[in-house]
Amino acid sequence: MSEPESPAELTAEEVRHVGKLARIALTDDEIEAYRPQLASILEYVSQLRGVDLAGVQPLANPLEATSVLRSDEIVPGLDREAALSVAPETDGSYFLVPEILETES
Amino acid sequence: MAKKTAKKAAKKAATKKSTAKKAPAKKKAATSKSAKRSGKKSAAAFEPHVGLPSAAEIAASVATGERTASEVVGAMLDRIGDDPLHAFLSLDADRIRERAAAIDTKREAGEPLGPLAGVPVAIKDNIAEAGQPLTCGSRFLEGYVSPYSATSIERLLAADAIPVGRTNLDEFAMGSSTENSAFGRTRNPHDLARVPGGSSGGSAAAVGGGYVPLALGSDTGGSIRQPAAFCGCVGMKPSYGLVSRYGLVAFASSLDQIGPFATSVADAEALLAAIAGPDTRDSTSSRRPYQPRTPTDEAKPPRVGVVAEQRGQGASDACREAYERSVEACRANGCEIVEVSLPNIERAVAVYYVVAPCEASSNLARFDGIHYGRRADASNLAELYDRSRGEGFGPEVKRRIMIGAYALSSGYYDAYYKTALRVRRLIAQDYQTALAQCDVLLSPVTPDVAFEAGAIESPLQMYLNDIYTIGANLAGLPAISLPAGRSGDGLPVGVQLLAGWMRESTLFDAATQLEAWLAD
Repeated sequence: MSEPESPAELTAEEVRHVGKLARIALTDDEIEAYRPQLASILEYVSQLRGVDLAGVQPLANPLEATSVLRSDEIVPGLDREAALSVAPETDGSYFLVPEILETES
Repeated sequence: MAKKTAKKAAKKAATKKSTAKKAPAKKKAATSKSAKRSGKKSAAAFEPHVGLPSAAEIAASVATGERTASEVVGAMLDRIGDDPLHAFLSLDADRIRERAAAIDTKREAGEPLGPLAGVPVAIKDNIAEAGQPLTCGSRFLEGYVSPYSATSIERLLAADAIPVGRTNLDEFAMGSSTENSAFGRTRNPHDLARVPGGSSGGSAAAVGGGYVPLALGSDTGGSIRQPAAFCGCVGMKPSYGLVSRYGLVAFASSLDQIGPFATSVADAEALLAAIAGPDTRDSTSSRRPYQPRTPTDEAKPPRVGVVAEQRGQGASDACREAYERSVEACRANGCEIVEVSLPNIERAVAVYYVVAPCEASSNLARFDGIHYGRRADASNLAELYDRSRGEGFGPEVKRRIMIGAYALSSGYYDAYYKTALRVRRLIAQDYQTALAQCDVLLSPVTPDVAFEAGAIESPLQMYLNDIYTIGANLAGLPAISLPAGRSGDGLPVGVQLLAGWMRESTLFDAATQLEAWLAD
């Protein structure tokens, strides 16, 4: 894949698309404000493309730990009542959500 | 005082009235604006509380019965008063008094007390404490009460410390000024018109202003060290994996660490000792037990690395001079000064502002309007997510989530995220090479002193505040910010020491000595 360009300003459509990926509803005013802001941040970080990275592996975490295992024992966790106590809507046993089978147009 | 204020207000109203009668609206606006400004000025009379007992002194005196924990928290609550700094988002005075009374009862019963007996510790509002609000400075979590406690909080309680309040922060710890809090900005104790730094600005102001001797913050790119420098206290970011992140609301999981604020290196070290060590509830917590240093009287002067790229280039005069003063203090006290280089450090801010937003966009996906926090009206699930998050998150949080979503999206992942992680390895390797030649690295901690609220409007400009602090997070290394004098305006200036991974003993050894040298 060719290197994407760093745009001077994102289009409103691009910002709306990113908002969708991020699951954040944006107003038109927000979209206008974010167009140059996001572009200037992307432009700044694009300086990384100039670095010689031949043979350099990514470092995702300073520990680079392998899987940590523990014995498979039952220990107390957060009980249902406590977990549901902070939810916006429940029926006392489950989290409630609006209908999920309707997809967005 | 109330009388005086009332009188003033009456006078003001009278002036306004007469102005309005004579002159048109323009003049009226000017009058009310200048009144606002002078109001701000009179509020700037806050004086940080000084000459207070250290955490070590409090713990020792509570253990002997010379002081009671109840007296300690009573005096503290008096100092906080109505919190002119707005350091706290909430403060449960009854709960604090009850905890203090319980410690006093324990002592009276002859039970042994923990190492931080009766010491108040302010808690950043992104570290969970059961039964307490946990807002992260976000509208999204307004009204949320945590059903469980972070490991750090459990360990503080086991040490007989007293967690105090919930301190203000940039929303979800994203920011460098605490202006991004949804619940108002915190004021710098040394100048109320200025910011305390961030994101742990409330904790820094609470310690720097003399409300409390200790506080906990979290540091993802400098969020403990920068506000410590701005507020004139000590702030330390531990090695990645030393302090459990269980119960810390995740921002960028490969960078986040909980760490201490204090008024001295010794107190910071004592607070770290109380919370450090393995925790099975955090899989990134290191399995090696923490070995606190046994301080000796004759600590050897450390070999101090000065970094070619971090000698104060682009920093204000005050910050560069504080740095140079620190180098001279080391030299004068017998330290070997070693010139080292971090050739890739100039890329650190760019690496960070890819890696941290990517991790944030993933971590903050949990705020979905279903399990906890804000829920918007919606007719279907997609709308529920979009609206709850759109209404609940502030501008900086949205910006970072979107940068992350963009950088991780199909076609961009390699160019942004993977590239940033590869440069991150180069930076980590640079530190390894540099630290092979010396014990600690010395650098400025901030490019300038605390700035005025509202002074930095560009997000990118704000990010550049982290230029000296981000490297430690990317490489997972411990680093500490120490007070190093004042600027011409009387504002605190800090300096930073950094050591190898899990070399906290080396770091505290050096910091204790430098602290003493700078005090001479």
